[in-house]
Amino acid sequence: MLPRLKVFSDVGNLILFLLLEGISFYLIITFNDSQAKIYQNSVNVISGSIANQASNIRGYFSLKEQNNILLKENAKLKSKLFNLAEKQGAKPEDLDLKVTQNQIFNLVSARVVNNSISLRNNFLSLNKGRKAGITENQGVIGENGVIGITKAVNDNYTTVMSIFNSQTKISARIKDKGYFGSLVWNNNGDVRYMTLNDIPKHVPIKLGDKVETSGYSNLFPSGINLGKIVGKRIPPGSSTYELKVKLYQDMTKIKFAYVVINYETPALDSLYLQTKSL
Amino acid sequence: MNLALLNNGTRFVILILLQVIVFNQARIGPLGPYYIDIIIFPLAYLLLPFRTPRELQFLLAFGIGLLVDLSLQSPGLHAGASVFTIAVRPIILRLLEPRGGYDKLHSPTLQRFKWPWFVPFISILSFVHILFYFSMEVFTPLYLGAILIKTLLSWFVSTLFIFLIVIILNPLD
Repeated sequence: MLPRLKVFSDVGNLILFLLLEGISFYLIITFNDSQAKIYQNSVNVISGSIANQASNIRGYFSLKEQNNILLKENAKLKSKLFNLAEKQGAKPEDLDLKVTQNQIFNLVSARVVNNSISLRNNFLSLNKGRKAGITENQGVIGENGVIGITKAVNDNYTTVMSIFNSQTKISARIKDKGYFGSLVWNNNGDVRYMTLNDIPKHVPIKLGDKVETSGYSNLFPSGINLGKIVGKRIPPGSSTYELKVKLYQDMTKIKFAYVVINYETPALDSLYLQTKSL
Repeated sequence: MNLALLNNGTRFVILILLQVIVFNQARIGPLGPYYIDIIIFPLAYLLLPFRTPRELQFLLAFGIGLLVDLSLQSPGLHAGASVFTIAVRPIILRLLEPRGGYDKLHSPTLQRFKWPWFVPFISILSFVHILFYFSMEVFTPLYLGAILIKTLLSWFVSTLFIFLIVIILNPLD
């Protein structure tokens, strides 16, 4: 009887010890700034590399599907190229596509290694980071629309604030009409739709109108197709529409993403700062 | 029993006040990039009587650590270090065990055990506390060198102050 009791009390002490150390650790990483940063960064690195392994394995199961998607995208680009060649009257390989002098955007492709869509504020992880030229506050697009904005970057991984995040606002406009507003997600858990706000109510809006990026935010190039309008409503007392937009992009299935590097951002930012100080 | 309660209670109060009011303000430095923090409050829980229930030892160490943390605005650092150190105390006690063993009713005080026993007892355990504290403060093994330098500097000064306090206050069971 006695030895058993002793084992029990030893285990109880161990549990109490672990509990108190756990509380201390929680307090440390919650209320101390520098420790909290180090902790988050370490978690980012560890979970990033775990997610990378998992995604490597999962990747094999969807190779065929991914191949098809890439083929389609390739075909689309090729047809554009041929049309352009036709217009210029040249062979596709002779086309003058050198834009190095005035290149504004550069895309970095990356694999999505982690993705959440079920939270209020959703994030994704990409398997490329600073080494690939990615920095904070760059746009991330997928093959059918916008995915999010880069939020935290370390050497090899990037955390992306998804479009399904209460802080994300995408500057979007109505195709061919030019009126622009901001596209937000209203946290309702439905990842097929987003809401386009700030379009004045005098604008004629038809259901089925297409929505694309406006290019005003310098995160994204203009003219990326985002979705189409499937519902409109003017909230009582408001002078702007609340438009329901069905997305082309299925965020539940994305495997690849492109980070948009905008070479004009530094120049635009400094100009903006100058304006602000006026 | 009541005397032990009174002695330990007073010791906790005095050492917390000393730590918070005097030593937390008396940071020495800078010595290059480093400061010396004087940490003397571990003495309070290190002197708990041998018969104190383990659970109570943990909770008291955690509590006093947290109180000091609150005054330093570093929640969790000293609390974690104190709990870890009180967990290590039985191991050190076993290492230093005198030939006749310990009397359950006693406390590990200078008055009972004299300097040759008391110096390693306090030095080792205050080193454990301070090492744990600075490991958590720096919080990354990348700066192992900084952790060790900070620990050694603070440990040396803190331990001297602890002995000074022991000489002046002469804690009893």
